[in-house]
Amino acid sequence: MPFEIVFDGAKEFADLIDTASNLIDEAAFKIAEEGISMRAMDPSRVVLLDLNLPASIFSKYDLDGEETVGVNMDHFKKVLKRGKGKDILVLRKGEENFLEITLEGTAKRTFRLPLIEVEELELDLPELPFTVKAVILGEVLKEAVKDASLVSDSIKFIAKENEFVMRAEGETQEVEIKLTLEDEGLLDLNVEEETRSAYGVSYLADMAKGIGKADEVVLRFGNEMPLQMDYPIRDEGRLTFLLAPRVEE
Amino acid sequence: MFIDADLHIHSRYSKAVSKLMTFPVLAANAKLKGLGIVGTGDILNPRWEEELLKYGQKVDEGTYEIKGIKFLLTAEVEDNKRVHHLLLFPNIEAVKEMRERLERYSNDINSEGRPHLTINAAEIADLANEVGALIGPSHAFTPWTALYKEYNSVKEAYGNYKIHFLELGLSADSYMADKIKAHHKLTYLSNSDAHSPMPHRLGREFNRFEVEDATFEEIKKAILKRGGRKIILNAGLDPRLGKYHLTACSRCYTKYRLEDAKRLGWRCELCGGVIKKGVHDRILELADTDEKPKDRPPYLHLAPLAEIIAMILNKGVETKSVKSIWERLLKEFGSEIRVLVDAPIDAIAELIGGEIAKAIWAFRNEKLIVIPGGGGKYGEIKLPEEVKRAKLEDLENIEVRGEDVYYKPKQSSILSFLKKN
Repeated sequence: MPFEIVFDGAKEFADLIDTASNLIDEAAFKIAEEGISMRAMDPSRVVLLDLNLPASIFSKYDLDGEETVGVNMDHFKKVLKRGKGKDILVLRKGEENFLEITLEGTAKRTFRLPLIEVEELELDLPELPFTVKAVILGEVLKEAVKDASLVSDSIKFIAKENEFVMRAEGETQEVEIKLTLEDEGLLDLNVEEETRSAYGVSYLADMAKGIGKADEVVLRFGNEMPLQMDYPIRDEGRLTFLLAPRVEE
Repeated sequence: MFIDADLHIHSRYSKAVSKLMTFPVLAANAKLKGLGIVGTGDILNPRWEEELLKYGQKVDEGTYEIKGIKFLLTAEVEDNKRVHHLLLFPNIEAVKEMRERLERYSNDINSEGRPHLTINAAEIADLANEVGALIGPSHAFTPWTALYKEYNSVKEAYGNYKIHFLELGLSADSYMADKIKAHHKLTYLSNSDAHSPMPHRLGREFNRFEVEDATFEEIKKAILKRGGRKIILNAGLDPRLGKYHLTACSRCYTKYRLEDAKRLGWRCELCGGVIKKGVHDRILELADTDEKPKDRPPYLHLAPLAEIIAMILNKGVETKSVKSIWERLLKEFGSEIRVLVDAPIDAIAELIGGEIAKAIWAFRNEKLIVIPGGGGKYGEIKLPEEVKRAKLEDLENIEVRGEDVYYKPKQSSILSFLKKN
C-alpha cells in the first residue's frame, strides 16, 4: 500500500536509525494509522528494541492502509546519513517493492532502497517490576559507559535513596560514578527499595551511541532485572531498549 | 564362534593418520587388543590395496589374513556435502569397480585414503548397492562430517536406496541412537575410526559377532541378521568420552547447554570461536521414542585401559611405562576386555599394585569422574579423590560426587524475561 511520510530534520531521524542499527541488522517497520513502530531483538537475544513514532511528530503522514516494510538497517542508515541537519526527509513507497528516501535541502536527492523480507517479532513488551526510575543526562551515561569499559565488561547499577551509583570492577582496577540529586547529571530519581543489577558494557555502549549529550534518558531497572532505557523523540515519540542483566556470580 | 571386529580404521594414506598405520603393525596390535577381524580402511586407495595384497593371505574373496588377524575390505568416502559413509566390499573386484566408477567424481581417489566425491549420499548408496557393497553412515551424529549434521533422517539422506547399518561413532551409544524410531530396524556398528594403531585408539570400539567363521560373508549375514548370525555386543567408549558428545566451543572447548549456544548464535562467549552442537543434543532434538527394539544387542561402555593406566601413572598414554603395564595385564588376563570387565580386582592389585586396581574397580562401578568431551576434544577420566584415599577393601562404601560441566553464560537472555509475562 502506498504511503508518503515527511519528517522535518533528516539528521535527527538518521541518528535514531543509526542507534538502532548498532544492535540489529534488519528491521520490520510497521506503518499504521497511528504511526510508525518497530520491534526487534539483537541477534544474541540480549537486547529488545521498541520504536514508537506517532503520526503527530511527522509534518505529513499519508498512507493508504497499513503496511510493514522490511529494510536492511545498515543500508538504511548509510542513506539517511547523507542528510544534512536542516534537510527534510520524505519516506515514500508506491506499489513497487522499494522505499524511496528523499532528502530535500539545496536539492532533492532521492534514493531507492530495496525492501526485504523480515520476520516481525510477535511479542508484547513485558510489564516488569522495576524498583528504580532515574532520569539522567545523556552525557553522564555515555561517559560512564566509557569509564567502565576501561576496567571491565560489566557495570553494576546500584540505587538507594537519593543516590545512583554505577560501578565497574575489573581484576585490578575499579571505577565508580556516583550521582545524587544535587548533581546536574541526575534529573530525577525514584527508588522503591535498594536495588542492584549488572549489565554488559558493550551492549550499553551500543545503546548509548546515538544519545545526544543533552538528551534526557529515562532508566528503569530492578534487582537482577532488565534495564529499560527510553529516550524521547520529539516528546511524543520514543525509542526503548530493554537490556537483559548479567548473571551474578 | 564369537569374534570381535573393528570395521572402520584409516591407513597412512588418509590425512592426519599415523605413519605406523601399516598392515603388520595393525595385525600385531589387533592381536593384543583381542580383535579377530579388522577393516582394512581406505581400500579404495590403490597403494593401500597393493599393501594388503603384499602382506595378506587370501582366505576367501572378501577376507584376507595377516598374522592370524582377518582383514575385510572397507573404506570411507566423503560425499558432496562432506558427509561420511562407510563401505564394506565383498571382493577386490567390487573394490576396483567402485574405484573406477568413482574416479569421475573424485580428484583424490588415487591419492587420498578417504576420497572426497562430488556426488550425494543417495548416489553413493546406489553405486554401493550395484557393486554388492554394504553401506551406512559413518559416526552418524558428529557435527562436522556426518549424516545428522546435514539431514534430519536417514531417509532424507539416502532416499529409497538401501543402507545396511548405522555406525554409532565414539560420542554415541545404542541407547542414545535408539531414541530415534527409524533406527530400530538398523544394525548398529561400533567401530574405532582409528587414525593410529596404538592400543588406546585401535579397537577402542568394536562389535562382537556370533558367526560360523571369520569371513566377509559371515559378517555380512550378521549385519543383515540372517541365518542366525548376529552382533551380540556393541562395545565402545562411554559416549561422554567422545570428542563431540556435548555442545562445546570448537576453539576453547567450553561446554554449553543447547539453549545457551542457540542464544549466543553459536559463538563462544569466552573466545568468540564457533560452538559445535554435540551428539547428545543432536539426538535429543531428533528423539521420537522411548521404546527399545527387542533384538538390539547390549552396549558395553569402555574406557581405554591404556588411558586408565596413564591417568594413574600421570604419564602420557603412549609412554613406555604405560605400555609395559598394559602388556603385563594383557599377558596375564588374555585381553583388554577381560582386564576391564572380568579379572578379579585383587588379582589385578597383586599383579601391578592397588592404585590401578582401584581405578579399574571405579571404572566397572561407574565411579570414575568423566569430564565429557565436546567441540573436538576427547572427554577425560579422573579418579575421584575419595577412591584414591580409600583402601581396596573399603571401596564398596564410598560415594562420589558429580560435577557440573557446563559453562554458564554471564549474560542472561532477554527472552527469559519476556516468557514470564
